[in-house]
Amino acid sequence: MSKKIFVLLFILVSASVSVYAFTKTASSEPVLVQSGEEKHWCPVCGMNLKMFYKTNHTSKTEDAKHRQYCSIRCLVVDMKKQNIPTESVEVVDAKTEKLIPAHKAFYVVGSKVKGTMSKVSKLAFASKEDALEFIKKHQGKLVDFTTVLKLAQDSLVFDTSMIAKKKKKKIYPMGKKIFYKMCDTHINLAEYKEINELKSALKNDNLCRPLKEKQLQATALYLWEVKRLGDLGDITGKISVQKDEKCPVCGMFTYKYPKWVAQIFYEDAGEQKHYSFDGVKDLMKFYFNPKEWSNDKVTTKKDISKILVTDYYSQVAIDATKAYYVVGSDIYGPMGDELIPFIDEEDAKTFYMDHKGTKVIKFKDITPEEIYKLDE
Amino acid sequence: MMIELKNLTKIYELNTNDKVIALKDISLSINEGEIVVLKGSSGSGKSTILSLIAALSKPTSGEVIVDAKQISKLPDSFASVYRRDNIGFVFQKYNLLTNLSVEDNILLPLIPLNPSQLEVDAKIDEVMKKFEIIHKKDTLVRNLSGGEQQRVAIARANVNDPKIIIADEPTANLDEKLSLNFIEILRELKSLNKTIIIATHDPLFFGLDFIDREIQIDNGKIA
Amino acid sequence: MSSKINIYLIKYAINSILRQKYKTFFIVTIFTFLVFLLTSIFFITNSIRYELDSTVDALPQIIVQKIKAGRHYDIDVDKVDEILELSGVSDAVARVWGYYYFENAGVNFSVVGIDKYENQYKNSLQSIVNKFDFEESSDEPFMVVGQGVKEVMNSSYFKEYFNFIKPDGTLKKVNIRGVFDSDTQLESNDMIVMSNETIREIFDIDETKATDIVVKVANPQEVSMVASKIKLMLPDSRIITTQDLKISYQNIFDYKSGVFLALFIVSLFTFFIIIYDKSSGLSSEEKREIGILKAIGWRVDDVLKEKFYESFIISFFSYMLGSTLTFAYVYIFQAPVLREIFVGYSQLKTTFELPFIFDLQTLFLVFFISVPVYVAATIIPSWKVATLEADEVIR
Ligand SMILES: Nc1ncnc2c1ncn2[C@@H]1O[C@H](COP(=O)(O)OP(=O)(O)O)[C@@H](O)[C@H]1O
Ligand SMILES: [Mg+2]
Repeated sequence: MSKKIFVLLFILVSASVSVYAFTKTASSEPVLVQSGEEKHWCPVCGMNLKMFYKTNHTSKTEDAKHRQYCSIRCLVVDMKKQNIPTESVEVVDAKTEKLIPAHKAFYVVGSKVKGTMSKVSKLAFASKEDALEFIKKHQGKLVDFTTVLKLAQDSLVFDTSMIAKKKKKKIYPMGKKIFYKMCDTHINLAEYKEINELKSALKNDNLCRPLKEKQLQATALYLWEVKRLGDLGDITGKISVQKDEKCPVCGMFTYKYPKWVAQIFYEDAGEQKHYSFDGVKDLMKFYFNPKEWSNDKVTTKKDISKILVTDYYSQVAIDATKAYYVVGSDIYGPMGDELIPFIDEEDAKTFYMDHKGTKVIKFKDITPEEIYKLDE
Repeated sequence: MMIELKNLTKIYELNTNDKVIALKDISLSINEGEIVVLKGSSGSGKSTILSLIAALSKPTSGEVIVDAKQISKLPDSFASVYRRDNIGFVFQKYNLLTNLSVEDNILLPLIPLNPSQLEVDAKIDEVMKKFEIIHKKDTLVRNLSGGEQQRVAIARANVNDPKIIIADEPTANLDEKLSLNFIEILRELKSLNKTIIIATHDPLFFGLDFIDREIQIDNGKIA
Repeated sequence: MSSKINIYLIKYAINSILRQKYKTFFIVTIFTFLVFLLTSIFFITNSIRYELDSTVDALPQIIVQKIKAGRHYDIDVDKVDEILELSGVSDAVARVWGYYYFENAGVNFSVVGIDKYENQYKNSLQSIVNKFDFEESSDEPFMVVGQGVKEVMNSSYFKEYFNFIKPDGTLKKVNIRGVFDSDTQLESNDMIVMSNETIREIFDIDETKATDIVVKVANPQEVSMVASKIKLMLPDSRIITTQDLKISYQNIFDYKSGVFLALFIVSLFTFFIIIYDKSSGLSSEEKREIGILKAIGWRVDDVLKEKFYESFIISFFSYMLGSTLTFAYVYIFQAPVLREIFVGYSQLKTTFELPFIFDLQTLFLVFFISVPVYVAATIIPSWKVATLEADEVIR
C-alpha cells in the first residue's frame, strides 16, 4: 500500500519536475546558418544562439546573406535596419529542433516558459499537435507568424527598455570590469561591423583571456553599446558639495541634504564656479531671478553654463535641462514640497504613480508661478 | 596691645532648664607687654576667659576689645584671621595633630597665608631652635614626651610671631623640672615684649618676679 | 590675598590622605571598583551597539528570500532580472551562501560565494576581492578564509587546502589562498569566501538557483516602496529590509541591556549608600582636627579648600584608575565575564570583538556622577563642623 503511494508520489514529482525542465538550449548540435566564427552569436544582441536555440529565427537578406537571431525580438530589430523579405524567415521547431519556414509554423505565445529578450515567450512548432500538446503542459495561446510578428513589433519598445534597465544596472558595469581586467584595452572597435564579430574576435583572436560565455557577453555588450559610443551612458557619479556651501536661496548647508543637492555652474574669469542648492525648488527660484540671490557674476540665465540635479532614484548627477520633474508627490525635500527630478521619463512616471504626484513636467515647462505655488 | 574685657558674662546652656553661668559680669583690662596670671580653682572660669579673648567663643553679653577692636562680635572667618595674626594659644591639652611630625605641626598656622618656601623654613627653624625642639623635627608628635609636646605647642603658638600669647594650665601635665623650664621660657617671651596671659592653679607661678599681675577668679568673678 | 595655588595646602591634603591609610585604601578600592563597573558597562554597551550598527549598516538594504512551506528555499536567479526592472533599484545580486558544518572540530563555517565581476553587496567583500586576486588562473578552486577559520583548519592539519564533503559524499579539495582580517568584525571570523562556482559545487546548488537575492536601492527613502513592489511581484518571497533587521537586533540588545541597567543601578546604589554614610557625620577625630585648625587661625574656607583637595585627589585618582582599568579590561582583555551577559548576541554572531571607541561622553558622565558627588559628600559635613564654634569642638 505504502509502496503504491510512494510510486504515485514519485510520478507526481517527476512530472512536476518536467514542467520546469523545458530548456531553450539545443539538445544536440544546433544548425547555424551564418558563416565564420561569429556564427555562434546573434548579430543583433550578441547572445549565444545555442543557449536560446529553441527561440532562434533565421533570415536571408536581400543581398543573400544568412542571418540567425536569438529570438524574434532581434529579428524585428534587424528588419527595421535592413530589408528582409518575410518569406525568407525560418524558425526553430521547439519540438524537433529543425528549421522550418516561419509563415507555416504554429506559434505558442504567453506560455509559462520565459521569453527570450521579451516578457512574453514565442515558441514555434511545425505540427499543430505538438503546439497543442505544449499548450497543455505550459499554457499559452496558439497564433500564426503574422500575429507573432505584429506582437513582437508592438512590444519592442517595452522589451527594449526592460532589457536596457538590466544592462545599465548590471551588465555594463560588469562588462567594463572584465574588459579592463581581462582584455587587451587597445582594441579597435571600428573594425567590427556587428556584435557577433566582436565577440568572435574577443574569444578567438586572444583579445581577452579565456572567459565564460556570460562574462564574454557582458564584455561584448559593454564594448559594443557603451564604449564604442564613447562611454556616454556611463554614470557620472554624485554631485559633490563642500561642507561650507550654503544654499544661496534658503541659507542652509547643502552637504546635509545629499539626496537633494543641485548645482548651477557659471564662468568667472575663465574658472568654473558654482552655486549649490538643497533642492530643485530653490535652484529654480535662483534660475528665474539670479540677480536676487547671486553675486554680480550671474545676472541672467545666459550666464549659467550648466545645471545639475540629483536623480531621485539613482542619486547621481543629471543634466537638469534633460530631466523630468514630478510635482505634488508625497515625498518632501528639506524645504518641503519639491520638484523631484528623473533622467528617465519612465522612472518619472513610475514615481508619479507610486507617490501620488499631480504631474510630470519637463525643465522648459517649469514656470516661476509653479515654483512659488509649492511653498503655499 | 591693649586687651579690655567689659562686663563679660558667659552662660552655657546645656538644655532649656539647665544652664551653667561660667562668667558673671567680668571687667578687666590688660596692657600691652603685660604678663598676667589668672588663678583660681578648677571650674572657676579661667579657660572661658581665655577662650573669649582668643575669639574661640562668643560672650553671652559684654565685650572683648583688643586694640580698640570689638573681637566678640567678629564674624567667624574674621575671628580666624584675628587669631592667626594676633594670638598664640598654648592649649591645656596642647591640641597638636599627633599623627603629624613636629615640623608639620608647627607649619599649620602658616598654611593659610600661602607663604613662600624660604619664609616658612626660616620661621619654623627659628621657633624650633628657640624652643629647643629642632632635634626632633621629623618625629611624630605622638612619640614625644609631655614636655616635648608642650614645646611643640609653644613653638606653634609663636611661629606667626603673635603679639598675644595665651597658655591654659601650661604645667598641668609636667613634672616640677619641666614646669620650671616653662617658667624660664615665659621669662624669655616677656623679654620679647609680648602680652602674656596664663591661666593656672599651679602655685609655682605665684609670686614670680616677672609676673606683672595675678588675678584671682572665683565662681566666674574676679575676687 | 595671593591667588596662586597653595602648595602647602595641597601637601597637607596629600599628607592627610596618606596618613589615613586604611580609610584611603577602602575608599579608593570601592570608588575605583564602582567607576570601573560603570564605565565598563557603558563601554561594552556602546561598543556592542556600535558593532551592531556597523554590522547592520553594512548589510544589504533588502534581502529577498523564497519561502516555501514556511521554510527558506533556494530562489530562481532569473528573479534578479525582474527586480532590476524596478525603478529605484540600483543593483540586485543573487547570493549563494550557506553554513558548512566541520564535524572534526564541531564548528560551523559560513561559506559565502561571490562573483568577482559583480558589484559586491558588502564593502568587506569588495576589499577581499580587491586584495586577493579572485582569478581562477588554474582549475584549482580556492578560497579566502577568516582568521577563526584558519585557526580551526590549522589545528586539523589543513594548512594548504581543505576537503569539503559534498552532499553526495565525495570530497572537494579547495586551496586556501589567504586569510583576511577586516577592520570591523563583520562576521568575518568564521567566514569563508569562494567563487560562486565552487560553492555551488560544494552545496550542490543548481546554476539557476541562489540562496537569496540582495537588492541595493540608491535612495534609502525608496527602500520600503521597492520592498513592497518586490513582494507584489514575488508573492512567495520574504522581504527583509535593513530596518527590520535593525529592529530585531535591537530587541535582543535591549533585553540584554536590561541586565546591564540592573547592574548599573546596583552600583549607583552602593555608591550613594557610601555617600550617605559619609555625609551623615564625621568621626570625632576628624572633628577635632577641624577644631584645632580653626583654633590656630584657619578660616572656614581654608578648611573647606583642604577638604576639597583631599576628596578631589582621592576621587579623581580612583576615577582615573577605574577608567584605565576599564580600558584595559574591555579593549585589551575583551571584557571577560561581563561580556557573557551578551551570550544572546554572541549566538547571533559566533565571535566578535569589541571595537575600540573612545567614548568621551561616558567618561564625562561617570566623572560627573562620581567625583563631584564624592567631593560634595566630603565637604558638606566638614562645612557643618567648621562653622561651629571652635571652642566647642576642641574642648
Ligand atoms: N562647653 C561647656 N559647656 C558647658 N559648661 C561648660 C563648658 N565649658 C565650661 N563649662 C563650665 O563653665 C565653668 C567654667 O569652666 P572653665 O572656664 O573651664 O573653668 P576653669 O578653666 O577655671 O577650670 C565650669 O563650671 C564648667 O563646667
Ligand atoms: Mg580650665
